[in-house]
Amino acid sequence: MNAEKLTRILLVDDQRDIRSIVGLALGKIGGFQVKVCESGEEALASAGDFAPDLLLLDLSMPVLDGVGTLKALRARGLTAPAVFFTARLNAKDAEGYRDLGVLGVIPKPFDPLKLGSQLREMWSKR
Amino acid sequence: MSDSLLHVRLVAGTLAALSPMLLVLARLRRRERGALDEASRARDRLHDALEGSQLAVFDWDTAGGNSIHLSPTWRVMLGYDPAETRCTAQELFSLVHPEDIQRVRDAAVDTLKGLTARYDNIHRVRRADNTYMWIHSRGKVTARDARGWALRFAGTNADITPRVVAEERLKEREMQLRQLIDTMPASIVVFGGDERVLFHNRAYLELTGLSAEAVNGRRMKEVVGEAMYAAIEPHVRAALDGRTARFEQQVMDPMGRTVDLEVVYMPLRDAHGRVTAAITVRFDITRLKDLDRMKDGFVAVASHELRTPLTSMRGSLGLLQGGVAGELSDEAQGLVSIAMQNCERLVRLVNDLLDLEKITAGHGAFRIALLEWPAVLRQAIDSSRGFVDSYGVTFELEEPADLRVRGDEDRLIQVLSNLLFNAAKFSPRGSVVTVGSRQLADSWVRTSVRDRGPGIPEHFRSRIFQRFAQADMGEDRRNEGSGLGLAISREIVERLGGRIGFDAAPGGGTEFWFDLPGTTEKVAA
Repeated sequence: MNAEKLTRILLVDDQRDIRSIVGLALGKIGGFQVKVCESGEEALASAGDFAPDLLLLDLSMPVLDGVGTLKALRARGLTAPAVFFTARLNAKDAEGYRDLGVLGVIPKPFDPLKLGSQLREMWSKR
Repeated sequence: MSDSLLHVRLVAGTLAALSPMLLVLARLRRRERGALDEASRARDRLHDALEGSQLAVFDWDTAGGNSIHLSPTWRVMLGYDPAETRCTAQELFSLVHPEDIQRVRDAAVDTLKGLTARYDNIHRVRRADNTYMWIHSRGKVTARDARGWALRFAGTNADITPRVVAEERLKEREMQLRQLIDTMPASIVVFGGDERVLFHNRAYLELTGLSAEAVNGRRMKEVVGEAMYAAIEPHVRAALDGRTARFEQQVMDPMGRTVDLEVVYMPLRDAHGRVTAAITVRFDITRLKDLDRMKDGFVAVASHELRTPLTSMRGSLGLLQGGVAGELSDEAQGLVSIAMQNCERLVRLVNDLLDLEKITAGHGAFRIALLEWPAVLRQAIDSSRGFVDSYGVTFELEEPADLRVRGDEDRLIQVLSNLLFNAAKFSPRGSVVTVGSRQLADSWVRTSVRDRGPGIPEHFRSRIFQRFAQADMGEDRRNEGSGLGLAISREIVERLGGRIGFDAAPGGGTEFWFDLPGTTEKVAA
C-alpha cells in the first residue's frame, strides 16, 4: 500500500488461457508489469521477490484456492491489496473477504479491454 | 199344602238360609276370576315386553329332572314357530357352538354351585337354519334348598348378533386403519389438552427410538425430554390453541443419521369445533433434500464449467478486437464482433438459466429489508443507463411518492432492469421510457415502466411471461435477450408476494407493472 501508482500486478490463475489473456490485457494493453503464476504454491514462492502492488487471484484453484493462497501470502507479511476473479455464480460480493484486504471480485467472463481500468478504479478506492 | 208347594217352600227356605253363603261364594268366585284375569294380563304384558325387547326367558327346574321351560320368543329367535317349549338341559346345551360350549357349561356350573352370583355369558347358538347367532345370556339361581342346592335357575337370552357383527366390523376396520397408519411413511403422534400422548404410530417409535411404553399416556415433555420440549413447546401450545404450524427440521435418528423432516402441528377438533387434541405429523424428506443438494451442487459446477471456456473465448475475442494481434480489416472486425456478441449472449443465457433455476427451486435466500422505494428506482435506472444507451432512449422517473416496500433490493433491481431493458429495446429511437410508482388500495405499491413501442401483439400476450418466449421483433434485434428476463421477473415478484402484468398504455406503447405489498414502517437509519 506504499505505492503511489498501480504498476506491479501478480496474477494467480490455474488456467493457461486466462493467464495469456490477462497477461496480454494487463501487460500489452494496460501497460502494467505483470507476474503470472499458475498456482498458489508458485505465488508463495515468487511474491516476495516481485513485490506486487496488487494481487489478482482466481477463487477456484486446485490444491490451494484463492482464499487459501491469499491467507498464506498474508501470513508471510504481504500487505498488497487483492482482487478475486471468479466464474462462480453470485460470488460478486467482496464483503466476506474484507478482512483479508480484498478490494473487489471480478466475475468471469470479463472484458479484457476494460480490465486494467477496473483494477485501477478498485485500487484507487483501497 | 201340596207337595209341590212344600217343595217350593223348602227350596225357598234353603235358598234363604243359603243366600248369605251363596253371596260369599259368588264374591269369592268373582275375586278368583279377577285374580285370574290379572294374572293373564300380567302374562300378556310380559309376553309383549319380551317380544318387543326380543328377550327369551328360561326357567330351569334344576330340582325337578333338568327340565327347562322357555318362553315362545326363544323359538322365534331360533327361527321356529312360536310355542312354549320345554326341553332338557342337554337339548339346550346341544345348540351351543362347539367353541363356546365349555365356557357356557363352566359358567352355568359356577352359578349353580353359587361360586358366582350371576350367570352372564355371551356365546353362539345354532338357529333352525343351522346358522349361528350370538346371544347374551343372563340369569341367576332363584331358589335353593336348605342345603344350598339350586332348585330353580332363571334368566333371559337376548339376540345380540347385529351388535356383535357391527363390533367385529368396527374392530376389523380399526385394525385396517391401524395397519394403514403404521405403514404410512410419516411419524404420527396425537396428544390431548393435557399434553399426554393419546395415540402414536410405528414410524414415531422408529424415528424417536422410543418404546411404546415410553410414549403411551405420557406427557410430551416426558416423552421428548426437556431440551427437545423447549424447542417444540411453542408449536404444541399453538396447536392446542387451534393454530397450524408447518416447518422443516433436521434431527438425528436413533442410528445417528441426519434426517430432514417436514413437520406439521395441527389442532384436532370435536364435533362442536372445540380443540380437544393436537396431532404432529413428520414426513421424512431426506431423499428430497439430498436431491436438492445434488442439484445445487450441479448448478454450481455447471455454472463454473460453462463460464470458464466462455471467459477464454470472450477474452480472446476482446483482445483481437482491441488490436493486440495487429489492426483488423473491416471484414475481420465484423466477424469478431459477431462472435463476441454471441459469446455474450451465451453468457447471459447461462446466467439467466441458472438464476431462474435457483429462484424457482426456492434457493438463494432472499434478503428481505425495508426499502426506500424512490432510491431503489433511481439506482435501477442509473445502473441500466449503460446497456440501453445504444438504443437511443431516455429514462424519465416521474416524481415518486415517498413509498416504502419490503423486499430484496438486488432482486428488485434485477426486475426493474429487465423491464427497463425490454422497454428500451422496443422503443423507437429518441423516445422516452417513463418509470413511476404509486400507492394502490390496501397499501400495495405499484411500479410501472411505460414504453412508446408498437405494443404487444395479441397472439403473444398470453405467453409473454413464459420461458424463452420472444416476440418477433425483426432480424437485427431478435437475439439480444435470453428470453428469460420476464420469466425471472415474474418468479422474483411472486416470491416476494407480489404480482406482475402489463396493459396497453393509452396513446400507444405498453405499460409493464408489478405490485408489491407496501408498508408504512419507517426505514431504519
